[in-house]
Amino acid sequence: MQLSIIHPKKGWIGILFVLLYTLSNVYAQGGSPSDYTSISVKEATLAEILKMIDNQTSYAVAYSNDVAQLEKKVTLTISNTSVPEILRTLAGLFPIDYDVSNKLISVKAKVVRKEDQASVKGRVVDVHGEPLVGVNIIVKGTSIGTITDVDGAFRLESVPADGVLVISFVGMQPQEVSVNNRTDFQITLEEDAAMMDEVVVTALNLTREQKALGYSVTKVSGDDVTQTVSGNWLNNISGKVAGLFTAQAGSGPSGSLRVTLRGDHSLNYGKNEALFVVDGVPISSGITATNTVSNYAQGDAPVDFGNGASDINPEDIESVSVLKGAAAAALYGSRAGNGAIIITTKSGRKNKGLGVTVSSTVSFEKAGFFPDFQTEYGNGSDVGMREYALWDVSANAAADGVAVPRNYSRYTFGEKFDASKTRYLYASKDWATGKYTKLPWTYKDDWYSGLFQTGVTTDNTVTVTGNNGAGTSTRFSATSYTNKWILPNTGFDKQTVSLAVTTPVTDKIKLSTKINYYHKKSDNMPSGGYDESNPMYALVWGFNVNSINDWKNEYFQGRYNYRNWSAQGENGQGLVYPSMAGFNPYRTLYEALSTQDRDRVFGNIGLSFDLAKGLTLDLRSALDWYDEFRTQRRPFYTTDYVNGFYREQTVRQMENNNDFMLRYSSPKLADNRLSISAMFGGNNRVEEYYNYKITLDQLGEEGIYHTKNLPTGVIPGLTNSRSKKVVNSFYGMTSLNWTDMYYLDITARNDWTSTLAPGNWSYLYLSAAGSVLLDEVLDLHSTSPWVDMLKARVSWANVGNDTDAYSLDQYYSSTAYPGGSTLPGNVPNPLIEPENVESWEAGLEGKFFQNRVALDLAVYHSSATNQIFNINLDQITGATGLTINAGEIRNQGVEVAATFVPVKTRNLTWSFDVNWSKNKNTLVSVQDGWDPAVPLRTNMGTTIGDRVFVNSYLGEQMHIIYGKGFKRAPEGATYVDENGRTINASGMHLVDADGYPVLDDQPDRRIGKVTPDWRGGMVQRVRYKNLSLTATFTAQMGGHAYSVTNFALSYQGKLKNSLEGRYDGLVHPGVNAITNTDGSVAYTKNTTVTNSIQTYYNSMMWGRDNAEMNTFSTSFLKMREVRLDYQVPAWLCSRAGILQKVSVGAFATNLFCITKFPQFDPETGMLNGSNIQQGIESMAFPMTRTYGFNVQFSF
Amino acid sequence: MNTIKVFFMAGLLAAVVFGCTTDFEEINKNPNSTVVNDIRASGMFEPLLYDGANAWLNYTWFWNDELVQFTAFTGGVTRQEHRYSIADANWQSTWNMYAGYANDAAHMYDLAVEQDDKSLQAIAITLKVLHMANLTDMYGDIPYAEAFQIRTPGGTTTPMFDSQKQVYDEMFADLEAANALYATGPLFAKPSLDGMYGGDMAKWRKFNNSLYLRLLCRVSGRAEMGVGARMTAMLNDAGRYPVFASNEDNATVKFSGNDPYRNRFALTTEGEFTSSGRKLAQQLIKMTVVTDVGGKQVYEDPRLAIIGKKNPNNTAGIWKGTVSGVTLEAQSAADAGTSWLNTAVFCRATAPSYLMDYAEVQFILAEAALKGYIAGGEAAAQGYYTKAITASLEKWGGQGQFSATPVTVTAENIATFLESALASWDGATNKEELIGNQKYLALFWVGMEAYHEYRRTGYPVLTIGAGTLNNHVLPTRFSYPVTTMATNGGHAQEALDRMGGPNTMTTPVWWSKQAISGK
Repeated sequence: MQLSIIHPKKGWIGILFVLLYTLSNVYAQGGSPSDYTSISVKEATLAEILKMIDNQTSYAVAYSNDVAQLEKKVTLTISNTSVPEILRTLAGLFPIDYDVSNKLISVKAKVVRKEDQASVKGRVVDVHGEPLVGVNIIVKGTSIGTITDVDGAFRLESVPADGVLVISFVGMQPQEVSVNNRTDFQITLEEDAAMMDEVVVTALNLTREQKALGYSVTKVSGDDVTQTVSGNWLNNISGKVAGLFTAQAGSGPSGSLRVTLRGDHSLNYGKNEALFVVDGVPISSGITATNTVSNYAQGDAPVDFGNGASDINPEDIESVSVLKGAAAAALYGSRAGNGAIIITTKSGRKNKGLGVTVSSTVSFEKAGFFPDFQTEYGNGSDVGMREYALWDVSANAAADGVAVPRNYSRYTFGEKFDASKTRYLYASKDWATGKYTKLPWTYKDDWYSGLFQTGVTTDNTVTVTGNNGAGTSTRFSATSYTNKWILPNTGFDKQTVSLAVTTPVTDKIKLSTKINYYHKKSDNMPSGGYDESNPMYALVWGFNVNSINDWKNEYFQGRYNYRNWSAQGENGQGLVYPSMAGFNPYRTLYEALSTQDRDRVFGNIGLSFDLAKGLTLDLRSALDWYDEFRTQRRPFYTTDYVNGFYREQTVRQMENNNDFMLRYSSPKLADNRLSISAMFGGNNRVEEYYNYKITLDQLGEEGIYHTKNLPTGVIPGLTNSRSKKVVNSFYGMTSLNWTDMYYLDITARNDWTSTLAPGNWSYLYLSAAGSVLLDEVLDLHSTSPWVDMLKARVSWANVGNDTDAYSLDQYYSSTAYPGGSTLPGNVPNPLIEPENVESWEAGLEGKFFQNRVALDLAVYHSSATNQIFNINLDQITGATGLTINAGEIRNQGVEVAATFVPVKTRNLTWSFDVNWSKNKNTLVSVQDGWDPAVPLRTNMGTTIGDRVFVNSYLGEQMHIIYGKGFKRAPEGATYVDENGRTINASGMHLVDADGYPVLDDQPDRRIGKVTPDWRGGMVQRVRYKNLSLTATFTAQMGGHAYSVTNFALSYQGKLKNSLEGRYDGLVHPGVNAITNTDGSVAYTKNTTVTNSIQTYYNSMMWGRDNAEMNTFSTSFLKMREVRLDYQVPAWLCSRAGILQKVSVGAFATNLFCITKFPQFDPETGMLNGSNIQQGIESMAFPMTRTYGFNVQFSF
Repeated sequence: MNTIKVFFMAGLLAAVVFGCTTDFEEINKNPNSTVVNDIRASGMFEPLLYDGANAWLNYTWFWNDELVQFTAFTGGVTRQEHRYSIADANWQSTWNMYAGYANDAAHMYDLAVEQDDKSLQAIAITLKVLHMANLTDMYGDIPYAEAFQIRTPGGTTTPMFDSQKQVYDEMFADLEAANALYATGPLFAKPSLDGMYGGDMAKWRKFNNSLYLRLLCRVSGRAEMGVGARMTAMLNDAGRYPVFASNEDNATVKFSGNDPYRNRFALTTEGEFTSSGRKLAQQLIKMTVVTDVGGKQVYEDPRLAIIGKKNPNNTAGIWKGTVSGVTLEAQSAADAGTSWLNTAVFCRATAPSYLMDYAEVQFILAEAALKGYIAGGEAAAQGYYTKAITASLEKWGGQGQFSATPVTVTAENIATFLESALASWDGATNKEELIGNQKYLALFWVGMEAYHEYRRTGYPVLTIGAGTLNNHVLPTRFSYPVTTMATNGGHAQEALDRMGGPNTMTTPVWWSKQAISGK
């Protein structure tokens, strides 16, 4: 048999061959045609000639497929010649071998002799020089072919010297390359301009063609999230996706981010974050709080230990799909109302072989964007009237024999600097002799910035990918990340290991699994917030007459001790800040430790059954489990914790998802115009949560931190809570495709949740999404050839939502008293119904000018109603809250995303992406009977000691900053100027008799809105040969935030904004109001010089009560990131031996930030329990610039 | 590949795992907490007593002392209560505090009725009235009859406001009812829970009736309340209306010092408590120190060295008070060298909380006798006054041991004090003012009582600082908080109309001197 020469993929030809063989034998035995024949053909192929022989003679002819494909045509006349003779002639004309046996002629392509064939190799890359994996390469006219490996490389044996290589890859323009005796090829494929069959990963991990989708999906490639190292990879998608909004609190090395899509929908502020899904399975992404308190004046202020989504190793991310609207995410059910971030991790290689990639990054982080310090005046609170002295220096302790009484202040309204003056500073004391020496009265440059060091982060990853050629592919990666942060003794390490395996069980069953293990450990995460426990507090309240070394020496030389701290008649004489509320930033950093040790495993294992043609069944079980152990310490003599503090907290969270999914794709129906695919599935989700906390707010023995170190009679605070929730679901989807021009998706999902009562616990929701390819329908390809693609889409979705476990019954609040209870503040409603989010989206997507311009527009409207929230009640009713279904929040917005490629040549490409989005959220209604004149403090009721509020009013855009501002002359007020002219005084500041502006009585002035009008981002890319330059910019306009750092520094006189008028005063622009005897008010222009310029700045202008002055626009333009990459040419790599690919890069972040927001980062907020709340900056850490290098090599 | 098997598996999985809701109600049972109504009434008692007592301590330190010029926070500008910088959040927290404890007391009453525990029924009423009285005294008209109905089926979430007169009538009725319950001689089931009276129901009864006297005194300016007759009836039937007979009967919550039975200031440092903020005010120093014509401090109230501490940085070594409501410019000078609260006395785990003292009862009777509400006239008034002063000095004398330099108050000291220019009955031209002033001092560290009494009597005569807000008016009440106005605005507005003013801190409450006199 000669079947062996037939390509195994062409099985049907083999069958044909056997059939032919059998039939011809039958025929041969049935008659006796002559062994001689005549042939006369014009421009005939070999196959045609062989068929004639078969027909005209008693011989049967079989030939292989490659013979059939020989395209050579000949003109031939042979008369009455024997078949073997004819075959000899043909063998001279065509490259064939033949065999005649028992009247069966078998013909095959000639085995090419060594000298006519060669082994060729090469590499296929895209225009960016990135290797293309899985590219098809075949030798034209033959069955010789292969696909490229993970490095884009290929190797082919036995390629004819005159052959032609055909290179094809989905989404790329195919290429043909003549061999011409060459053996090494570097092939660059270009994107297919008219290519529209882009695929994206959508809900439930379904891969879909983008053109078929009726909703907005934005894809971010894995490279975009890995290339720049950050404490939280989510930073790297910020600004790259229209409609995606991140909020941060400048809260430390982990840098937790709050990610929302298309605005906040829920009145429960903590329930607005996007759902994170890894490989089709939701994971927990939020923050677990150490304590549910805000970040203002709290000794037990929250520590940012990182949010769950940041645990994903960016090196393992293949791509990120952002499903912004509810329609996109509707299949995820309850949790999808806020949209979803779908992360697909990398898999093993597609073809046989082994690949190893090593990637290393080192980056250096520097604190920057420091406040605008004044350097002219030193510490003091008496406008320099008296000589500054930190010490009470008696005559015999003074080097000069003159006694000086203590007169110090942390305020900086003291004497003007003058190096010729000398004063008693902290460093004046000789601790060995107890003598004091006066030192020059000068500004110390490092008093603030000296605390910061250069942070160093290293990130090393080794990835091994393999494929055994029998369908089993694996990927294994291990990452080690270390971070030393910008503050001494802070930072964290993490290690991740991930494994992905896909293997066939039988030819119809495939098993795949992805498992990730993550470990994060920190010996100290800094405490944030406006509190003594934050090292920033020490700086802000520090002394510009002291070097930072004073604090360093105090701590490291053991001088922050009981003796120097305690009053002893001198009120804590011995400390840099001599107070019982004293602190030392080094002591805070080295002893007030917050440690973290977190283990997490998440992954899934699944079986895929190929049941029948078009029908598959997937079974999958997924687990996300973590266990975290934290400790927090405060040493003795710490503000709020004189006798120390210690806490241990264990958090364990488990989410288990079990799914089945049956999928069916129909063949083409209705004359190939219609195709249908349908999916039906089920999900069982179990969530369990444990949080055990033991808090000692005083310790028995100093310096010992464990839970048994308690003073007599003190019991530790215990908080134990566990919860369990189960949701079972069925879901289904039908997708219709009519003539590849009209698409329609319909989904349905029904959830049954354990958190609602019978009768309410089952709820159904639906979505529909349709799209039309206008370019095809309107035939734009012929009328407007510059249009490559134009799609219109519209979608609608209705998503239900349940509530937390144990929300139906009333439970007592527990107390520390044995068996003691108090009534809970909130009265739940056992008959609460599921929430509802209904949303619409319409969009237009287009690609133009050979893919040089791409545009995606979206408008949307969503309305979240029937919200489950706790309405405010008057305590006199018996509770402060009542859970009801009420309220509506509406979000409306526009998103624009575009890509431009102005230059595209073989060596040079310039392209850029821009995105812009605007969202407006409105509080449409709350509970019945709510007085609209009264603000609703939603869960985002941030306040600064009841001075500044973020409120929302009915019928208005949400999240407005309220507080005190300047009292102003009413509309229509006038005054008469010195020339006798009447001047309009409406809105001018009222100034009192001491020359001070007057503040509002109540903090109810509308100061500014928190949410920006719009946000935008831009990525610029320039590639020249192997060199590429990328720059990312982000901007926002129209938001505001109150700055605690600003009031704290300004009202102490530490910034330039309090220099004017020192100390001779100034005239505040405004009017004086004089009430006449008849009650009318007359206005005169203020000419009074401020009574005291210190009071003016300290109490009126920059005091914390003045929300108007301390609130700033958060509009900004940032150069978020710039990077330069160089890909070492392949020829250079190959010279280095086994290396296949080497690339090196350098990057920098935050090179500039243009903003009016004065103190650090305009993208600011405060950590409040487990939420990041915007609108108030609460002593954030400085914004940093990072400079880094990375190198990646593969072999 | 057996397709049927797969379908069977999938179907089974679907049916068993995905569609099942049978154990949902079990899953949704909270393993962490107790369902409301599933406890003994005594489970409400300790938090109500101890936390309530600590809340009183906090309020006396934070609000009362600043408003009536015992102290003033002049150590900075973070707190400005002495300037009447009081905002909605304060109104809200104060409202919620009193209403919250009253609510817990009302719930304890309901549980005690269900469980037929008469002792806790009676105590619940006494404590509820204690907190509700403060609520009405702080705000004026409040819901009383329709309060706390949220857990009752069909209960209102927008309760009617009762006029303050109605509220007082209702409180009197409640106290009468409690007195009747006490009269049945119920036993306190777990005496060890009771950190005030150790389960001695007779003392609880005295507290109930002393509280009754306090509230009668509060509305004594309103003739329609018939206070004289009611007081007289009580005094004439002491068997039925026993009241405090000595300091032994004082409503004093004692803390063992063991967690959680600790005074809320146990861990507060001197800086937080006083030295970097709240200093003794001039008013207090003026009323407790005798200064000679040369400006030398020649005599002081024996209690002063117990409740106060001279500032060690005061080079003159004298008592100095800071200026309440001082202007920002004058603040620094006013604050320098000013005396402190005595941290050693107040910031102890075992420092007690005073809800009501025997001394107050005697002051009430002194005033009542002086004004002729009860029999005895001025002579009787002086007798009551002397007992009141003695009781107050003895009470503080008991705390003197905790001062850094221990202070004792002897009978001789008391006698001297009663003869001194500060407290001499005979030396006082205005006896009513003398009683008012000394009652004010005796009410130091007793909740908000001094503030309430100042508004009722106008004593002591306070100097309103030039730096004050609220139109330089010492707040006549706290405004109804935002939640009240937002959720029950209609009823609240009716109450304001009845009170005759806007929802501000200048509208007087019904029993106040200002409301009665119209000035």
